[in-house]
Amino acid sequence: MEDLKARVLQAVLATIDDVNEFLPSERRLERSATTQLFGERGALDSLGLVNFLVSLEGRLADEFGQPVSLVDDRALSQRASPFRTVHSLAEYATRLIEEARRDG
Amino acid sequence: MGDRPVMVITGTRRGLGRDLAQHYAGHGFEVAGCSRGPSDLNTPHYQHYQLDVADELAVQRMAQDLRHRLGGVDVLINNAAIASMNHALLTPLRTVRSILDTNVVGTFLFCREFARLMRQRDRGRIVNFTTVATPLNLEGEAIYAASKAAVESLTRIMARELATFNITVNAVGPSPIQTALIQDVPKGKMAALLDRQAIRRYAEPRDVRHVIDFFIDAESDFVTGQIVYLGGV
Repeated sequence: MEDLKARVLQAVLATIDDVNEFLPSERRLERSATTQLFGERGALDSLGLVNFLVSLEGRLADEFGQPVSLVDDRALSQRASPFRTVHSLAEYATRLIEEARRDG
Repeated sequence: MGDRPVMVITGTRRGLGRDLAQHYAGHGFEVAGCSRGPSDLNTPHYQHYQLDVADELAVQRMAQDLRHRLGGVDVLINNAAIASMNHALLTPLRTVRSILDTNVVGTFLFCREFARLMRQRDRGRIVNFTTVATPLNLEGEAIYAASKAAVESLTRIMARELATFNITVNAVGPSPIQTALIQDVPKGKMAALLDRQAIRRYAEPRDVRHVIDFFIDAESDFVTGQIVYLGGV
C-alpha cells in the first residue's frame, strides 16, 4: 500500500508540474506534499482546481490503467475537503484506487 | 493519418450519421464513428467503434484509444439519438429512460470525455444535435423534445465552461430529414410539420453539413453556445 501511496503522490506532484507550465511565475504551485491547493489559503481558484483535477485524473488513468473519478458526492460532502492540500488529495485518491481495486 | 484533423461522430451506423462520416472521411478528416451495432461503412480514413453512447466505461476507452493512436481529437459531432413518437399518457418508462440515456447521457459523456482530450491541445469544436421539435413543442414528442431541450442547455452551459480551453460548443437543429428516424411518422403529420417551417421542404444532409462546417471552421472561434435551426423555425 505504501508503494501505491507513493505512486499517487508522484502523480499529484507531476500534475503540479503540468499545471505550473501554464501559470505565471507568481502563481505557480510549490512542488511539495504540504502545498495548500484549495480553500482559504489555497493557491487555486475554482477553475484552477477543475483544471488540476482533470489533469490528475488523466495521469492516474495512465498510471493505473483505469479511470479514476475524483469528484463525487462523497468528496463534496466531506467537512474537510480532500482537495485542501497535496497530501490530503493524494490520500483521498489512494483510497479511491484501493476501493476500485477491491470492488473490481 | 498524420496531419489530418480527427473528428468523432456518434451514431454512424445509418442515416445522417453515416452520411456525415462518409462525407468528412472523404474531405480531409480522420473520422472515428460509433454505434451499438457494426458498421458497413468501408471507406479510407474511417474507423468504427461498437459501443453504447451511454456506457461510461466504453466511451472512456474509446477516448483513451484515440488519444494513444491519433494523439487527440479536434472535432466532436454528437449525432447519435433515438426518437419515439407517442402520446405522453402512453409512453412506457422504459422508452423514456432509453431516450434520455442515448440523447442526454450519451451527449454529456462524449462532451466530457472528448473535451478532456481537446483541453490538452487547448482547442476544439463540439457540435451537438437538437431538433425543431423542441421550439415547436410538437405533440407526440414530449420525451424526445424534452431530451433535446436538455441537450440545448448542456450546449449553452458547456460553451461557457469550456470557453477557457478554447473549445466551442454549438448545436444544429435540423428540420425533418427523410431518414429512419421519421420513417414511421404518418405522412399527414409530416406535411403539417413542414407547414410550420418558413421554407417548406425536407432538409437534406447537405443543409446540416453546411451548419456544421460553419461551426467547426477555424474562423468560428468566437461563435459558441449557439443553436441554429434549419428551415426557418
